[in-house]
Parts: sequence; C-alpha cells; structure tokens
Amino acid sequence: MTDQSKINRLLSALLSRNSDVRRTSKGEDGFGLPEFASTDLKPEPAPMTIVHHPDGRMSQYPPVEKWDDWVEWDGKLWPQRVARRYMLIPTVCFNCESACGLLAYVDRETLEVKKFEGNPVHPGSRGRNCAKGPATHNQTYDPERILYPLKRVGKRGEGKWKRVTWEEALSDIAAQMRESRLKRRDGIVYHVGRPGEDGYTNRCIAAWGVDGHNSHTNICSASARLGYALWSGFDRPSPDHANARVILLISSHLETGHYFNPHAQRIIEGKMAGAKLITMDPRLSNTASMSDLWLPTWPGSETTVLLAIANYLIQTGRYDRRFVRRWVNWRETLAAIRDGKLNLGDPALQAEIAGLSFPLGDEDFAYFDRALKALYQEFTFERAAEEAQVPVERIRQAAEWIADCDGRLAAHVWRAASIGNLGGWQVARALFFLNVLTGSVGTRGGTSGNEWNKFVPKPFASPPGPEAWNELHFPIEYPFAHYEMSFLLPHFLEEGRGSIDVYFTRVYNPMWINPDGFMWLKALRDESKIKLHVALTPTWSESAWFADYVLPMGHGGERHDLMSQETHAGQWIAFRQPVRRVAMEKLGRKVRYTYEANPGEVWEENEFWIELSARMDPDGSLGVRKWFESPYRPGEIITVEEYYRWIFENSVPGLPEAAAAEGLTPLQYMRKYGVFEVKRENYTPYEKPALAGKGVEVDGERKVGFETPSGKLEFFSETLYNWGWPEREYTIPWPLKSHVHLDNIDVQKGEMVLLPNFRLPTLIHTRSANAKWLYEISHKNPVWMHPSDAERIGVKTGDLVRVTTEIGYFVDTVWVTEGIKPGVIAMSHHLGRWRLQEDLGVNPGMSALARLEEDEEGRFKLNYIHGARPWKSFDPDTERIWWEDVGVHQNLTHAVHPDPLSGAHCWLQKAVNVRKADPGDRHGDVWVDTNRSMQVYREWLALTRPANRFSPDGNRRPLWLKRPLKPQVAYYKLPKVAISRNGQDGHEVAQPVIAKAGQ
Amino acid sequence: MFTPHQAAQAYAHAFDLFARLYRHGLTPTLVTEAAQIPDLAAVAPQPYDADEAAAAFHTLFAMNVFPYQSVFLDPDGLLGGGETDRVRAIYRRMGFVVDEANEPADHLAHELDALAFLCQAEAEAWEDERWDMAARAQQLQANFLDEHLLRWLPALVAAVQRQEEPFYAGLAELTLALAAERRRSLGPGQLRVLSVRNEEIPLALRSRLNGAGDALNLALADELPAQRVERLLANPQTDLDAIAAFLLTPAYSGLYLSRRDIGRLGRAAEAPHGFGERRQMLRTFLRSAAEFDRFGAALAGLRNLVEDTAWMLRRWGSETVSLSTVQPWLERLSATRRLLETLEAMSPSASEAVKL
Repeated sequence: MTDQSKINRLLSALLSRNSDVRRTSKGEDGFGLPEFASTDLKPEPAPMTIVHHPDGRMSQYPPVEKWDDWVEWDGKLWPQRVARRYMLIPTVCFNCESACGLLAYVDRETLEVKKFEGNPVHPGSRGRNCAKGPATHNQTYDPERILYPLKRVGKRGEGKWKRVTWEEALSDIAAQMRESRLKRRDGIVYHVGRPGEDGYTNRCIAAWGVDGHNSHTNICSASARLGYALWSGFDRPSPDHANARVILLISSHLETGHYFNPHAQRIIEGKMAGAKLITMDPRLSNTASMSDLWLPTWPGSETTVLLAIANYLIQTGRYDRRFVRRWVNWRETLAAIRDGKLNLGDPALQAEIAGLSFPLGDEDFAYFDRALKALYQEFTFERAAEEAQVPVERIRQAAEWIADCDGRLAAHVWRAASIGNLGGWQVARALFFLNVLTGSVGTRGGTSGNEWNKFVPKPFASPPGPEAWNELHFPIEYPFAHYEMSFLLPHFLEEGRGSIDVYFTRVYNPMWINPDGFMWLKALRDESKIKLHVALTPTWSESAWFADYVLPMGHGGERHDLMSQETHAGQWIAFRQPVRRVAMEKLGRKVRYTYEANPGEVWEENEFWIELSARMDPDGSLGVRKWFESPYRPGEIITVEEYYRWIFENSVPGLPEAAAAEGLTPLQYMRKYGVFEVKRENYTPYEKPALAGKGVEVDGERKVGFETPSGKLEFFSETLYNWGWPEREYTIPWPLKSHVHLDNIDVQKGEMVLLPNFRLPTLIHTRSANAKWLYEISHKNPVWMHPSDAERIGVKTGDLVRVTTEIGYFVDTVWVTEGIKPGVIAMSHHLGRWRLQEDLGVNPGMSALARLEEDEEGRFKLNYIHGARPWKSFDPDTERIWWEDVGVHQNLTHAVHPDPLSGAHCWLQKAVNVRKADPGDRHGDVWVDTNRSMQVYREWLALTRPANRFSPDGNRRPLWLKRPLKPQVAYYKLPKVAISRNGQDGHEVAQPVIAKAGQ
Repeated sequence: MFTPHQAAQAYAHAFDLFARLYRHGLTPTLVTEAAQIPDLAAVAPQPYDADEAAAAFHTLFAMNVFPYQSVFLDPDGLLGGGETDRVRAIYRRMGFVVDEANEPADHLAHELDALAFLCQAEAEAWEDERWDMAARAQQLQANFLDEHLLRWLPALVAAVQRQEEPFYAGLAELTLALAAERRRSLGPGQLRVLSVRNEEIPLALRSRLNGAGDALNLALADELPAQRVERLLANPQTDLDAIAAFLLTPAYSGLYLSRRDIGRLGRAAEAPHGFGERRQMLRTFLRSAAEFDRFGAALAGLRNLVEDTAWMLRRWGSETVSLSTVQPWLERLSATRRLLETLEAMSPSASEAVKL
C-alpha cells in the first residue's frame, strides 16, 4: 500500500468515527468509582492552617473556617484546571488502634469522597497519617465490598448467599438472642478484633445481661498486660517518647504497632532532641535500623538482659532510691522475706531481715537495697550476653545510657517478646522494673499508665456487670488470663465444654488470624456448637465464609465511634463519623439511618446494636430495652446522635464551654472538629492527694497511688504467691524459661525458631486485601533466613522451603538476609489470604484460589490452585494486578501455646524442621493434623494451676485484676463442685497445694 | 477523494489524535481510539496492558528519544534554546496558544496540535465560505511543515525505529507519512507568506556543546557539515569527549543516539558503556573501548548506525517525503561517515573491526 492510500484510509477512519465514546464507571447497582462535579468557583487564596511539627517540618491544611465549603483544583486533572467544591468532614481512621484523625473531602454535589487526608487539629496524629489512613479510600470504593446484608442458603461454608433486608436480619437475629437470653446468660458472644471504639459495644453486652465479651487480646497483648498489671494495676504502658532521654523498645514502634504513627513521630522527636534509642529485636526491623543501639537478642532472653541492666543499676547504686522507697512495696517484700515467702539465696541476710522489728521505718529501706543486691547479683552482663548471643559491650552501653536517663526512660513492649514466649509476661515486668528503678514512672519523658493518657467519657446510663461467668472465656484453669482465652475457643468446644447460641464476629477473622485455624474451621462449621454465626464485617474474610449472616459494616468514614488513645502524655477524644451522612445533614437532607448515606446498604454497628437490642426486648420484660431508651425522649428508642449528644453535653470536661465559645452545641463542635483535647499534659497522677478514705500513705501524706492491693508498685506479688505461684521466678521480676530457649532448639538437628508475628507498616491485619494501594506495596511474606542457615540447608533467595511445626507444615519461598539472627526464621503475620471460590470471597487480586481437603481422621490440606490474578471490575486498577504471590497462611500450622498465667498465645513456634522443599511441594501448601493440635493444647493446658485447686478465697480470679465487663462479685465465686480437668474433684475453697515457698 | 473541507477536518482529527498519543502514550482511552486506525491497530500491543503501555511510553520518550525540535536542530542539542524560541514565535504568528505547563513549545505533541489547530481553522473557513481564510490557513500549514516539523521529523522517526517499540515505530512512520502527505496535498512551491525572518532568530552563536567538546566551540551555524568535520579533525584539541559531543548532536552528526542505542553499541563492541545520561554513557563507552582495545569495534558499530539511518532516510526520500526534506540529514550523515573513517584509519585496532 502506498503512503498516500494509507493516509487516506486513516483519514476516512477518523472522519467516520464516533468521537464521543464515554465509559461509565458505575456498576449495575450504582456503586462504582466516585464521580465529582466541577464548579465555576475558583479556589481563593486562604490563610492555610500551618502545623509546625516539632521535628522542624511544616504542613499546610485548609483552614477550619473553610471546611464546610472548600474549593480546590482537582490535582488528578492537572494541567487542566478543574475546580471542585468539597465539604471537609473529620473522622477517625479505623485501620489500626491509633485513632489518627482523617479529613474526608466530600464532593458537595455528588457526595462522593475524593480523598482522606490528615486532620490538623487532632492532638494525637497532628495532621499526619501512615499509608493505612488514605487507603480508607480504597476500602470505600473496593469493587468487591459487601453492599447488602446476606443470609446463608445451603450448608455452612457452601458459599451460597441470598440478599435480605436489614429488617429481616434484625428480627431473626434478635429473636434468637431473646431465646438464648431467656435460657442462659452466657449464650450470646460478641467476638471483636480490634475494637476501634471505647465502651459502646461493651455497654450493649452488659445491657443484654450476658457475660459475652470475647476479644483478640490473648493473641496480642495478654502477657504484656499481665506484666504491667502485676506492678501497677494498669495493664498498658504509655511512654512519653518526645521528652525521653532514653527510649527502650522491645518492639518495632517506628514502623508498626500501637501506636505506630503517633508514636513514631514522637520517637523521632525525642531522638532529635538527643534521646538514645535502644531496640531489642532478633530481626533488623526498620526501627532497629534507626536505633542508636540494636540488641538482636535470642527470643526469650530479653528478661535476662533487662535484669542484667537492672542489676547494674542496683549494684552501682545508680537507681532512684527516693522513688523506690516512696512507691515500691518494699515493706511488704521484706515481710515476705521474713516469712520465708521469698528466698534471697543469702541465708545470713534472710535471717537478719527476719530479725527486724516490724513495722519498719524508712531507715530499713537499706535492707531492701541489700536484698535487691543479693537477689540480682547473678545477672551479670556476661550471662546476659551469652543467653542473648549479643556482644557484651552493647548490653553494657545500654545499661550506661539507662543509668543516666534521669527519670526519663520511655520504655515499651506490647506484643513482640512478651507475646512470643512462654513466661513472656516477665519481659514486660522486667522492662517496667527499669522504669521503677530509674523513677521514670509517669514522669515527663518517662512511662505512664495508659489510663492516665486516655479519656473514656461515661454514657447516659451504665448497666451493671453481668450476673454470670462465661466458662468458655474465663475457664477455671486461667485465673490470671488477660483476658478471654479466645484462641482456645475451638479447643474448648471440641472438648465439649459448652456451646454458643449467637456468635457475633465483629471485624474479626478468627479462623485466619488465630493459630491452629483448622480447629476454627471445625468449630465454625459445627452448627450444634455455634448455632448462629453473624459476621459483622466490611469485607469478605475466610471466617465470614462460614457465617449464617454476613452483615456489611462501614469503614473509617462510614460509622460513628468515640475513641481515645494514650498516644502521648495528654488526653483527647476523637469522633469517627459517617462522612457522607454528616455532609448530607449539613446540606439539609434528613438521614434516619447511616445505611441511607453509605454505599449500598452498608450500615454501622452503633445503630445496628440499638435496633437489634430494641427488637430483642420489644416489651421491656427482659430488662434490656430500658438501656436503649432516649435520655431526651423518655420511653422512645434512642438515636445514635442522641447517644453522643448526651456524652458531649455531660461527660467531657471543657467541651461544652469550648463549643459555646464558638456558638456551637457540643455535638456540633465534635461534628466540626472530630476531636477534643481534654488535657494537654497529665504527669505523675499517683502523686496527687487522695480523697478521704482512699489512696495510700507516702511519707505521711495520703496519695492517689496505684490500683494494686498495696496501693504501691508491687515488686513482690503477694497475689501470685497466694494463688499457687509461690516460686521466686513468679513472685518477683525473674526470667522464665521460654519454650524456644536455646536449650530447646537444636539447630544442628534442623530445628529453628519461627518468629511469625512481625508486622509490616503498610498492612491492616486482615483488611488490607481491600486496599489496592497497600497490597501493591506489600503482598508476600517470604521466610527471612540468615545466610548461614540458608547455606546449611542449601537454599538461596527465591527457593521453596518446607517449615515443619509441631502440628503440620507449610511451604514458602525464602529470603536470605543478614537482617535476621542465625537460628531464627521470620515471617510477616499479615499475608497468605485465600478463598475457596473463584468469584466470591477475598479479592482475587489479593488472595490465592485454594483447594481445601480433609480426611476422616482430622487432617487438613490446603493447596493453592493459583495466586492473585487481575480481574475485571468498574475499577480499571483491578486489571493491573501485577503480582501473583500473596504469601502463605502460616498460622494454620501453628500449635496453640497458652501461657499458663497470662493466657497469651505464645506466638514463637518451634520449627521442628526447616529444609529445602520436596520436589512435590508447591508454594502455599499447608498440611495440619488437628489430632496433634489437641495434643499440644493439652500439653500446655497441663502447665496451669487452676483456680479450683489454688484459689485462696474461693474466687475464680483475683478481684482486683482487670477484666472486661467485670461480672458482679457474687459470680466470681467458684462453683461448689467443679470438675477439674486434671481428673480431680474441685473444692469449694481450694487450699494452695504448694504451701511453702519452694525454693 | 475528499473535499478540501473534509480533508481539513480529517487532518485536524488525525493530528489531534497523534498529538495526544505523543503526549499521553497509549492510555486506555486512546487505545480504543487508536484501534479505529487499521495501521495502528496492527501494531498495538496484544493483549493491551495499561501499565505496560505506560511504561513503554515512559521508557521511549522520557528515557531514550526526546521528541523536541530543539534536541534535533539546535547545535546545543538542548531544550529551550533558539529552536524553541523560533517555534514559539511562529505559534504567536499563527494565533496558536500553547500551554507550556507540561512541555515546552517544541514538543512533537505541541507541533502536531498546532497543525490540528490550523486544519481546524481551515475547515471552519470552508464552512463559513471564507476562501481567503482557508487559503491562509493552508499557507500557514505548508510553512509550518517546511520550516519546522518536517525539518526534524525524519531524524526523530529514524531514531524511534531502533527502539524496539513496535507500536511507536509504526506510529512514528505513520506520523511522517501523514505530515508528508499533508504537505504534498497543499501543492508545490513556495507558499510562504509568513516565514520568520532570519534576523529574528537568536541563532546558535552561543553554541556550547553542553560544556564539553571545547574543540567545537567555534562552530559556525552556517558551516557545512563536511567543513565542520574537517575542522574538528584538524583541531589538535579534539579528544574523545569532543567526538562524543559531536556524535550526540543530531544537528551535526545527523544521528540520534538514545541510551538504548549506546547500550546496544556497548554490547556489540563488548565494551562497558556505563549508565547515566547519554553523554556520560557515550563517553564511557568510547573511553573504555579505546582503553580495552575495542575502539575499532566501537567505530564499526557507529558506522553501522550511520548506514542504517542513511538507508532509511533515502527510502523515505523516495517513497514518503520529498528528497529535499531528507537531504540535509544525509549530508550530516556522510560527514559523520567521513569522521568515523578517519578515526578508523588512525586507530591501531582498525583491523579488528573487520571481523565484526
């Protein structure tokens, strides 16, 4: 063809074409990519709100006065100049527990959300967010999201669903709740992942009159909680990083964890002001790499290292004697030594103390000092270095810095080593010991209790604690559990310990996230054990697949919640809002229920619980309804707006005044700003004068003190001593031998430690699969392995390895790196999502299609058919999925390891064999024998000292310890005759079997 | 086969579509439009993947071949110089408003847009029966093609042919054919009514080859290519850097060397070519070739490029555009050939090149 005819053909084609090809991005149900209206208005120069970050940076935000009507150019259309008109509605991120502020840009005409940015007036996040915040937009416009209430048809897990109305779902579920509640008070269970709110749902559960709260705490923070609680009564640390001189982390807080974004900014702030950052982690995390000192401790050796540092402070006298004398229960400790309850290992000193005349005077503190010296002298730097396999100079350097911290030691552990190891609660206890010795408790730059830095306002009426005790959550074997033994629920059900009538999983995927997931599969499938399973979730999950109802609940910008977190030394509350609803109301449109404003019929839990509770008790005869009647319209059911209106008007000091100063009601104020700072600073509240008849005496004054039996910080725990744990390694800060102690791992035999629970900064546990940006950043979880181990087993990066655990094995690729300690392998805990049906379940681009098989003897096999694939949807990005590897679901192969005290699942796994994969092995293969699961469970259960044998007062649990929704005191009593799981009959009041200090 | 009105309209569409393709690459919207053009549909990637397409576009026009008139015609070989100013000046005269927020005025997409604008103006003039306006719009098109687009388009198209991007190779050839056909359809002879007068052009008196190749500093704008090469060879200061600078300036050498071209030369000659900007790559290549006894092979590779390019240009000169359009490029190339031959004769490893 000549050029001329070629060009003629081209010109003809162009003359005849239809030039108006416009594609719509909406699906059949009107849900699709957001569309925005253009406006003739032009952005006007406005004085921007400038936030000066303490690290020297500045950010600019639209000024608050303009939030209701903000015009800006659409950046995506640049260089075209198209202006958009938005309403900026504050809300709170729902993608971790930090409760950072978000600002939604809602188009005033189409009501679609353009983006989520930071809320500059939020005191915790201060306008900044991590990747998970803006990714709320992905979740909102996720093409695979669940838009309508679904009800199972066919068998559980078969994957057949029909759409129902909210009214149908509400009345059916409410009827079953009513029926259960009429029979018993432990038949309804609310199982929550990360709550993302403070107290709202707990109040509902209490109102139903059941002991029905279940959480994820025991796969997360139970051991840290127990460690802190034994000292102080509070169960969570709140380090003041920004003002610290030394920051000691047993975690990777610069990149993940509670509370990643707010803490990371303050850690850097502290560092820039000269603080030294010390990190203990067998893995070179981003945090470790930013540290002044990295201690790659062998898992389980952390307590020994911490006590070596404590010993250094004690032996050199470089600890805060005044603080310890005033605030530690040293008098009680010396009495325990006198009574032989605590063995010093120094008979002469023990006899000398026994000869003292009690009560003791201040001058007798010298004996406590000597006792400490005697107790801890064996914890030398050399011993710690050997156990931890860390150069001794590094430990000495850490000790020197801590000795010089001048009451400003910000220390933190939440999961990491405390949740990893058997006895991990002693890690937290030993860590806090350093706060105590340096006097860094609640000080500027020190470590506070979470309650001092968090504010939870009271609602209009609070139901009393339940008149029941849920044996499936707090079984008799675990009187110190912090808290519910949630991850053993399927094992308890398997043993026939009980059943559940109505089981709500709320934004929670127990089968995927818990260890031993096939045990969950068995439980969730069994309709005689879990009679009704209602999954409240914004997204599909492996667990929702086995539900009877799947009820779509909103993401961060689609729901009401009130939240506060101890991000720093102040106090604030933040208000999560359904941003489209708020925008509609501001524009004068009436909205009765949030699902009218959200995509499809996505609802929010707050309103759902109100309506459900009202239907559970229509005539008020159960005593439920009254808790859901409006404080403003007697006898009528409350609205969600009234609920928060009452709190803001009555329970938040300073809020009504601040609102009035702007001519707003308190509710309008919170709708406008989304946040209120209650206190700027709150240091050493325990030093405040106590109310008459309360508190504790210190140097002749009544002080608020601590919520422990002694009112002081408890070095020696009388409680543990009395409840059957009299040995020294329990009653005072002392190392407990971890299940992965060096003695228990024989590397030469192919054994290794699997560190399975580190997080990636850009992922949201099991909700990342609905955030395309986050999955594009990280989607696979290869096995980290040290080059020396890789060489030993003959693998290189990219090869497949088979990791055999106590109950099964999995196959994954390996990543050879010096960023992990020899003998330890590590895997991120988020990834390895799967689905059983090609077109339903977890997003095709973020999960593998899997085949699941089981034999008649309880053995399960999961194989990937194929990995992630691009798929067609209204969002063109779903056709651009370029990755295939979505990781391996390792948790299925984890045996349960309930710590006999804290009840924590000790995440570290003994990998009994790690080797190059067999020829037939394929990436993603998982095989588990649930008989072995039950066997390992029983081995760990045997470590417990059950309340029915050891309780000193006939109660199931020490009354002073925290517990979610504490039952009324009468229900703490042990049953008259409890069947002991060890085959012995229980006693009405059990006597401690170990009557004497056993050392 | 078309009325003048229809032709003007069709050319407006075509230049507009091509401009968008050069501006955005093969985006999901444009792929459906391009599919209507059989010659483009034939070379469009199958299956289409938006990310791949975006990456290919970026690799080609942001990393390898820079589609600006100044890069090809300015003795600086740099953006924003005299050539860009000349383009701006003619846009002003024809009333075309260029948005330089993204790209300077002499980007290929803008030049095609300018033609689309003129064709559209012509079509509207036919509709309004304003023959004088239509004629003027035609004159402006012919003038713009002669003075600007067609002066550099052949060299750009030749450069794109080597970049292993079938779609853009096809698009570029079609663009050349389109521009040439438009020029042909406007009739022969001098239509210029509005030539930019020479004195308005801030000519390349400040010619400085990117600060390198001092031997070329005295280059005169109106020097013939052959003379320039002689002067370069006679200058005792001429070194490998000066040679590299010469070769990298299409206005002198007639060649356009992309990163990919230099990488390919390096691999063929088995000499390291380094990485970084083109000048850096070519210098590294020539120096290491000289150092490691691969200079002959390097020169042979460059000779092949010269011959391939000349062959392509000659073919277009007989089939697509007028011979006078490609003639200046052929002259530059033959000067370069002379340079390479001289160097080859001087090189001790010349015999080795024969083996390649």
